[in-house]
Amino acid sequence: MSVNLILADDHPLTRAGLMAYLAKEQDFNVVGEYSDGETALAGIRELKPHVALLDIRMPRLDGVSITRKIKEEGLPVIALMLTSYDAQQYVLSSLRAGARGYVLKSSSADTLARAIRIVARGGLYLDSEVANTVEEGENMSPEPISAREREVLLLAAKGLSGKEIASQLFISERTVQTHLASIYDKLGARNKTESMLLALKYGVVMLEELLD
Amino acid sequence: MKKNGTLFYVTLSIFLPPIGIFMLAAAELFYSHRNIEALAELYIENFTESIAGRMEYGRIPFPGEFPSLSEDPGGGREPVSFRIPVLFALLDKEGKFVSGSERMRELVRESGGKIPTGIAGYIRAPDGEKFTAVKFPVPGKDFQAAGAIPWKDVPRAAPVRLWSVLAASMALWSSLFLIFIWRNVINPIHWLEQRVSSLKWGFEPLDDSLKHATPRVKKMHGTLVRVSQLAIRTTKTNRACMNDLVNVQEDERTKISRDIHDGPLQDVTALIQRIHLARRPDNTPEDTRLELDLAEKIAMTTVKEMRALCDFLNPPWLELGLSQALTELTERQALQYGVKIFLGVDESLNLSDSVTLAFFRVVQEAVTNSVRHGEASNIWIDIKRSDDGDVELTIQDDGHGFDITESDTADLRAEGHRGLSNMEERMTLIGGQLKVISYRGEGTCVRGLLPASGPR
Repeated sequence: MSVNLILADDHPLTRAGLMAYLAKEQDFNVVGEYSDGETALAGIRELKPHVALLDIRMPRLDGVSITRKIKEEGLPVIALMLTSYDAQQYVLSSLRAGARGYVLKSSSADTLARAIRIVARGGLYLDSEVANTVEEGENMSPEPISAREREVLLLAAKGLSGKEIASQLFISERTVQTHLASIYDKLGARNKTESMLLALKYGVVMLEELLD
Repeated sequence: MKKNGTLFYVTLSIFLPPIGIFMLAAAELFYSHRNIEALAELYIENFTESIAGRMEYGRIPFPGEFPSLSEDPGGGREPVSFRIPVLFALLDKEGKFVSGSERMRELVRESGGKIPTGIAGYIRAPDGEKFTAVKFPVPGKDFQAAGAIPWKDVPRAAPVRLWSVLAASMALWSSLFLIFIWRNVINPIHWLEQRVSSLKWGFEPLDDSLKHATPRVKKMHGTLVRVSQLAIRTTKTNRACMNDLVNVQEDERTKISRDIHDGPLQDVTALIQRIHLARRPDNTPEDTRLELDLAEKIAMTTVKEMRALCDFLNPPWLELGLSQALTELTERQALQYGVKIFLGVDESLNLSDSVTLAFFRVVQEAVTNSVRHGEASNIWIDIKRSDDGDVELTIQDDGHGFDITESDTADLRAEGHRGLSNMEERMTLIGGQLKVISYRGEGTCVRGLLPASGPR
């Protein structure tokens, strides 16, 4: 199966590097190359590629906004973020906007190709540098989390405070903290955002659940 | 404690002098009263005794009518010329009134027994009137001669009676004065002192209501109110300045962060990508060589960009002095923007570091503006000392200029264009001035002037 792609990156050197990555893959077909957000969105609307590789920070229109537009307009295009930033909040806001993955520009060609293939199949790809550095094999699965912990995690992911979660689940705030601590421990996360990203990555929760 | 202390000293200092004067006056009055009394006693003794003596020799007829000497000064003979009013009576052996003035009759009837014989004494009639009186037996006759001086008719004794009234009114006056001073001077000053010492200067104004106070105290209060309002304005200005400073700093940081992100960070990312590409297992040696060549080029670009960033942030060649620093700067800018820059700097200027930096930044900004906004292709820079000793900086370009009237620097600043106001502030900080002269189609001239009296 060949994959039609567009690439939007305002920096010529990194764009050239990424193009060289993509050229090596026989089944990738780059149909558009853009150096700013507005022309990229126009290209997406016109060409409707399978996957759009979008830099988060671009002149005129940033990658997250393009992703949101794709979702709003119901375009059959999968957004994969390409960036130099490994800030978890950036990752989360991209995912909330509708992106299906997040790859650092400094990744290897193989990593980029794998990410593209995963999202093209409908999967979710999160760069290992973004969500925890430990990646022991593709199908490494964490200690299973309980149904209650899963509920707490989902509510926390929607931005509810400990107090709000407690009142919604009819448990004490202390219990909520205990659940969260247990979740961090099982997933190997250091904070709430990381635990969400790792939960997504391990398939503990689905992206759709998180966005509801 | 402090309040009581003040009151005590004020009261003391107000009351002490009048009290002293009163005491002295009282003593004076007391002694003069005593003297008059002694005189009166001596006088009445002599008078009565002499009348009695004259009666003995029949010089004065008796028993007969004796008019009151004071009541009828023209009617008597020798005693008539007395200026002190004297009452006289002739008494019998038992001290009963025989003849004399009407008032003497009353006195004898009511207090006859109290009239001393031989030595004059002080007696008081039942109705309160005071007299100095004496009686003498007429030698060889069964009569006594009695004389008395009524004090109410002695003119010089009046202040003695008035003294207590004077003292009371003086005390009352002093008290009123003290109350006035306390209410209008001491109390307001006290209040002011407490308000001023507890005031949060620069944050709250001094209350402007002061009901009771003398005009001068009110004036002082008004001045303090104005000072407190001035302090508030100063605080506000300071805060605005600090805000500006923080904002400028944040803006600068944002700009540097963006420059690093868009420049070196992207370059190094591209470099990593090329290394990845060079290491691919299915590369031919030629592929690898090409990737490595590219990687090297990118690395050199990175170095160049980082150098440019360093130069922008703080050029190391500023240490070389104004002339060399500007030569370096203009050569770089000429190359970067593709313009011709003609630089003329008086080598003998010998300016301080802060002035050098200010001139450097002004030139940097002016050249950037000339290229960016005026699209100039030639720029002339001249720095020299005038005949007056002032340092003059001129930057002239052949760009398309602009009408300076249509865009005030303050407006530009508000819109986020700090270029012009930055240059102005740089010059102001070193004690100089900056003027921009431009007309549409005639190029722009930026003129800086550092007076000879300014810092070097």
